[in-house]
Amino acid sequence: MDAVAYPDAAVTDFITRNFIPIRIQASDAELGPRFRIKWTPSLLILDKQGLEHNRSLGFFYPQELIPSLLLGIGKVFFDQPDRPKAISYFKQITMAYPESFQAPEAVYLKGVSQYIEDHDVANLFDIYECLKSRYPDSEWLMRADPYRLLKK
Amino acid sequence: MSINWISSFDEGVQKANEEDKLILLDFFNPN
Repeated sequence: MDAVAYPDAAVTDFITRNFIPIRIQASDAELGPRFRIKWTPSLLILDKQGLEHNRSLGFFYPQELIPSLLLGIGKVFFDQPDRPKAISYFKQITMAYPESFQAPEAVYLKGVSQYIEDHDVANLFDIYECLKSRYPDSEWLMRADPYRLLKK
Repeated sequence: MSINWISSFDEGVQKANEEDKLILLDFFNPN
């Protein structure tokens, strides 16, 4: 991450604008066990109370790290819950990074968030249709499989 | 321009509260 992802100008700018970045050695006697760190890199997104909402393990290319971080931010707001704000972050991934590995999960979470907001099952069916047409090999199509039965 | 990582967890949490931002916590292996 130090050699490729973090020096990338877009990544640096994104992290600086959106986060307070903290770096801790995985061997830290207090924080390592507290956050159950078993491997590096482990990249966690926490709210300002220090509560974890998202975790990723392993290396990311710069062009994948930004959508991964957007997904994590969206999950923070999904959990709060501030679903409209969560939707806006998931939508950024589907619009700006549709080819990223994070896009299928963003499609799923955006649709679920919309369904929780308006209780319209069409949002769930749309998840299935979108994943089937755009990301047919994604595991998220499997997770959305029951929604295909919701077609009106 | 580079990322200005904070090396103290408590300091980072305090700054996140002051600036109303989320925290990116990177556990790394320096070796």
